[in-house]
Amino acid sequence: MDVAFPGKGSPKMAEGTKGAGERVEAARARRKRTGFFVLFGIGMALGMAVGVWLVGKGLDSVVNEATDWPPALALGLLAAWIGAVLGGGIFIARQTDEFARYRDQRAVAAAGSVFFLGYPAWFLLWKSGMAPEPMHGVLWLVFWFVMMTVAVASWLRANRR
Amino acid sequence: MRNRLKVLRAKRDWNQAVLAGRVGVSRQAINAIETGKYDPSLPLAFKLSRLFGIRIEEIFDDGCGVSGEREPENG
Repeated sequence: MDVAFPGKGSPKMAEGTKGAGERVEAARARRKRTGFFVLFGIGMALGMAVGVWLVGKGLDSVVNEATDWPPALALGLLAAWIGAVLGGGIFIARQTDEFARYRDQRAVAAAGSVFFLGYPAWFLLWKSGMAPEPMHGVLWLVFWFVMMTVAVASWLRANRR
Repeated sequence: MRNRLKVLRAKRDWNQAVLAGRVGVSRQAINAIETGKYDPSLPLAFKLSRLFGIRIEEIFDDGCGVSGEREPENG
């Protein structure tokens, strides 16, 4: 029997058993989930470290007092962020196929347009007195919201049979 | 882009996951290709062509004939 082309006479897979293709995909999904959980765990640990440091200082020290953070904390967070984005991105990209990369790139492009279109628009409106000064925190949050919304919508659409 | 992937897959009693595993992509990718939501890359198209033992043009149809001009939809 030709393994590559079992033909019409081959028995269908029994319900509940996984074929080679499904096992490969399940293993890939497991590795991707593990990568996300590791990154999430790192983020949680760093968030808790910042939270512990913020006790008693209030949210004001995050929003307004840019020089209040210890340099070691800021540099540590920066290194962790760059490492997570680059390292995690490379790892996740190796677990995804071309279709998932296409969906992810669309999400990132949509989110990137928040800055590419949104920041100049807000800046010009601000300069003409029609809007308050651009807030980088708001732009950052909108960037994440757009990226997650497009990513989730693409995922739901792709999993609809 | 129109394609015969679903028909070719069905002739071999493969589900989408089996075909996906054989060409190294996810089931969602196969589903998206079959439903016309995604056009595969050239390397993936070649993998599919070699897997089924037929030419790429026998799997995918961009609606343009040999002349390159768009053909009318069959009624």
